[in-house]
Amino acid sequence: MHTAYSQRRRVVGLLVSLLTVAFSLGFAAPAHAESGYRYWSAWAQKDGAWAFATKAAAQLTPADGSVDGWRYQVSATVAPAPRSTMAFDAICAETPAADGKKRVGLVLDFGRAIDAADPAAQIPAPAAYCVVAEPDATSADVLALATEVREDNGMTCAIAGYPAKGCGDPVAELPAGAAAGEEPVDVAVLAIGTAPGAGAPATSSAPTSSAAPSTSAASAAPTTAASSSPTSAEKDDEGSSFPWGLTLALAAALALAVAAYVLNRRKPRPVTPEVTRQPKVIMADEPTLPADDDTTRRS
Amino acid sequence: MTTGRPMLPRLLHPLAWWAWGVGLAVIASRTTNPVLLLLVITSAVLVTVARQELGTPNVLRVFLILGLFIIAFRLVMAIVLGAGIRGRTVLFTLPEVPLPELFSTIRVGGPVTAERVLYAVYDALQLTAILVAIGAANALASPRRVLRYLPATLYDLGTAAVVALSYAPQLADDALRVRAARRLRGHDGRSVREVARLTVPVLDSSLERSLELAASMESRGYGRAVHRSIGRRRVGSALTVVGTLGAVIGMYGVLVPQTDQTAALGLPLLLGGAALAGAALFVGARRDHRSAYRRDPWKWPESVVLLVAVLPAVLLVVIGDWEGAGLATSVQPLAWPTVNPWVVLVLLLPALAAFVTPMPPARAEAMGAPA
Repeated sequence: MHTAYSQRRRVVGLLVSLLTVAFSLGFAAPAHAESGYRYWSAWAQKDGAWAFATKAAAQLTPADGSVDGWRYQVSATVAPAPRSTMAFDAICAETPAADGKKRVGLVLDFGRAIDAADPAAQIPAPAAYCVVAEPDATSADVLALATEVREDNGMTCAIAGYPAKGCGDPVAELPAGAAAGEEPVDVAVLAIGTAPGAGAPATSSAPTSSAAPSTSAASAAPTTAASSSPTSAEKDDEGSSFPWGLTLALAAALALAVAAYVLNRRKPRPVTPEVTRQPKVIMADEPTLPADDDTTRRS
Repeated sequence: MTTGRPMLPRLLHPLAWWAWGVGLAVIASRTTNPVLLLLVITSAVLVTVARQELGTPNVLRVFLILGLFIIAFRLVMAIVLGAGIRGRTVLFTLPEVPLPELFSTIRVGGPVTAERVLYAVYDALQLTAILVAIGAANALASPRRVLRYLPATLYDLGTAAVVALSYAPQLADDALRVRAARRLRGHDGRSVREVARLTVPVLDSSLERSLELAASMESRGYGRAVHRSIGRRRVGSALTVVGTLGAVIGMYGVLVPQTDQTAALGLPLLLGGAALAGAALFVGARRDHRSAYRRDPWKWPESVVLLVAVLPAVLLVVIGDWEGAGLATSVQPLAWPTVNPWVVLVLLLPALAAFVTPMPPARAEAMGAPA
């Protein structure tokens, strides 16, 4: 006989087994491939070697004379560091110290061919900047002062326009050789406002040929300084094309709003029946009123 | 209730309006472009103003005010608290409040950037648009009318929902009544002690009235106990549980970014779960015959209303990632929202619902009667 108790136990058992099946389906990691992420990692130079940044860039305040590094790579758990440990003196040799401000070195490593998501993309050459900033500027501020940054909800997606799309995207399978040993590269020291030079295109090279042009200074920049000027933080317009879509949308919204207003004005109010009013109480010192029906009076 | 021509004055099938509202909400949830969201909000307001039945409470106004409050609240939070988006265009700087090391991730005060403010406003505007869409559906087709179309297997849910929906208005009603009674007895109805004395009788009487409503619904056949065999009832319950679980897990799989592990959890599981849940309803309803008393007809205006909201929603879901659609407005770097004219035209479709639907009866009468 099925008692209520045994029925309940059966139902509970069924539920539990279903739940286990569902969860194991979802969370059993497939053992054949390792997945990772493709993102910009932040580093700080300590004693000539790179240390992974312990906090988010917006919460770290680099000291005067320190060097920050950023590296774009694809990795699962351990991210590779920027491939050059340039010292502060080498980066800021040509930038004099300013009163009341600090100088922070910044090294940008855009990664190898294997780190790029888009095989046809042009990977910029590694660049270094000497940034003169306010004493309380955070690492994020220092980066923003040197070059263009694209962020999404607090996470740094692109630096100097690289990569053009995506933000910390997951990678289903790490490409072969991603964790291979890396050769150090030469880094060009650029003035603030110059874009990093064009590096090797992603498709052409084997993983070890990370030879970037080791030219120096502003002659490495093929693009004009104005395109990456940190002062152009205004809303940029799209050149000379008339914003058809925007005008159309605003005109449509205005038309709808006006139509709604007009319809609201013309909407008939619900007709309420006449409420019988209480007869007015006549006080002694008030003048006596003519004996009219109250409902015909409009006071 | 007319069975004649579809465009004669009548109330539209409530599910049509609710499908329209949900479609509009889906459209709003796919974009953070402020211009497109503005279009969604004005469409919802226009259709409500054009087709709301006379005498129904103006629910949309409540949702609009709530939406404005949400935007104001997010704006204040973005200005005062400093975490999250950092921008470069500083608007003004608030004095920073030093916090102990424990709260180093929170920053109160400091420079207020245009990027942060705009991000908060866009996000809040999206939520407002979703609320306004649901509010419009609420105003056009009262939820109580929708409850009639709940499948027979879910009659428990239906009764509970009706009780819940009628609880709050009756609470307000009762509060006013009890307060008037106390004032008649000479107490001042406003002090804190008064409010404390009000609570118990008000809660008690409103609960009692809600239960009376539930009992009257049950006596009218809403809560009829169906004599099905034990086996069929168990099959129905098991299908419901498995189906709902599957649908929930599938929804999770669809919403998270797709990786290897979640690919199996996504759309297949969602569709399978939904199918199972639907089968459960079907199994349960087969032996429960409801009388078709004054059913709302489903004619072509209903189908049109459904299409004008569902088609744009599906379109936006499909072209979501495409850059040219202008659905996502970039805040960093700061830029004017790009708007695709074709997307604008598609988003004007839901507003058509104001013109292809019949006028509600009381409103048609009031408009037709000589002033």
